[in-house]
Amino acid sequence: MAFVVWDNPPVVIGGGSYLDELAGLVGAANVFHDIAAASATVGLETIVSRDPDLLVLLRDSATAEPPGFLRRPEWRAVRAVRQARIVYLSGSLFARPGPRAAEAVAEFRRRLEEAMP
Amino acid sequence: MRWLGLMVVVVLALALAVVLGPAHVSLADLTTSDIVRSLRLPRALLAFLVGGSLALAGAGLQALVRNPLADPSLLGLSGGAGLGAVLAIALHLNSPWALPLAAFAGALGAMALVYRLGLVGGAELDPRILILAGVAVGAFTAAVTTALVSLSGAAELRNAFLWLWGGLSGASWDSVLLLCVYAPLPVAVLLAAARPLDLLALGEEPARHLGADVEAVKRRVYLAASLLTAAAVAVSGVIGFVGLVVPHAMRLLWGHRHRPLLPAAFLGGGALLALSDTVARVAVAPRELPVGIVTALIGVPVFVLLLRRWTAS
Repeated sequence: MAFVVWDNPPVVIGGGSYLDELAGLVGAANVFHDIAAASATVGLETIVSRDPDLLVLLRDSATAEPPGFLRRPEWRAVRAVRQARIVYLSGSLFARPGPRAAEAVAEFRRRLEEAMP
Repeated sequence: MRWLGLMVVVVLALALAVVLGPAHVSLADLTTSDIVRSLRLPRALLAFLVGGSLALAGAGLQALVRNPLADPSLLGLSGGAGLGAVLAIALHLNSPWALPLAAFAGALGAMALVYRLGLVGGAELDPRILILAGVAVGAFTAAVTTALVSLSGAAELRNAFLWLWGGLSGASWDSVLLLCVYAPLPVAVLLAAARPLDLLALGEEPARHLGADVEAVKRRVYLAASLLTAAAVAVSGVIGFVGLVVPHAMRLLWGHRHRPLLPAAFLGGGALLALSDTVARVAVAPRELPVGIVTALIGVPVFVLLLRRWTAS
């Protein structure tokens, strides 16, 4: 999977970050684990070639509508976008480490199982 | 010979942009690869069109205001585009095309304001006032944009600045097609102004005596250059340097006559941006550099080299 935090330019979460660690705890592999920085600008081409099974997006508001960039033609090149395998996590629970980390891990695991039964 | 050389550079830049990339695609798979077809090819073409547009607009503006420092970013359009984009994000406009459309609307708004201010001295467009108005409008919109971002504190607005610094990651066949439909008119208007721009270089009074309709030329060149820049900024953010230095580099090779200079600037600007974007994509792969850094890193040495050759001869 891959964490996408911004779409233009695409910014993803790399290794050595809290989210990457959470992914490891729930047994999901961040395809950008090898990038040392906590977050990095990458090309769409790199996302397509690393072919994550699903994209994880953080957002604060619980608005039901998916973000517009998922309907942009260049993002349709990403398999997870075409197959609508998108997981939304709440920014307040997942953006920073804290005493609710255990809650975050359980929530993350539940969401992944929903998306990839 | 010079034209042949320039064409070779253009073809080479486009070929490299298609062949090279962070993902490995073998030469045999080039025509069938999805990555090449849906990502690399449109991105290479968009880089070429945007770079060409910015350089052509820059060449036209430098002639119009008779100032070698004139650059599309001095017109206040970038500031307007940035304000439009940040507003679209702040208002949570969620359509896939909201950002480029809002940026384009912002650029047009800034253009109208600058144009109106350029006319304050009377019915004649004063190029010096035009540049000052551009700088003033640019500073004002930048201030409003920064205020919005710093007051909101939302992470997505900070990310909007990434977009503002320019990049071609929004490239798709749709954006290429859009520019292919939109750009020919302003490009044609600028190319057709080559002869009157030569006359304008002599000064407005002499140009008038030589039969140029100075007023009409000034308006046409300003509007065409602005419309071209607005579209470039809308699809790719603010990419600096191409519009400033490519016209000068081409002037060193082709001289001051605008008939050869303007098309050469378009081709040279396109080649520079296509090349720069390739470097931006592969230099630190899997990460990507902002393309504006690369245009300066490649363009400045080339420019210095040309300048030395030119001053030596």
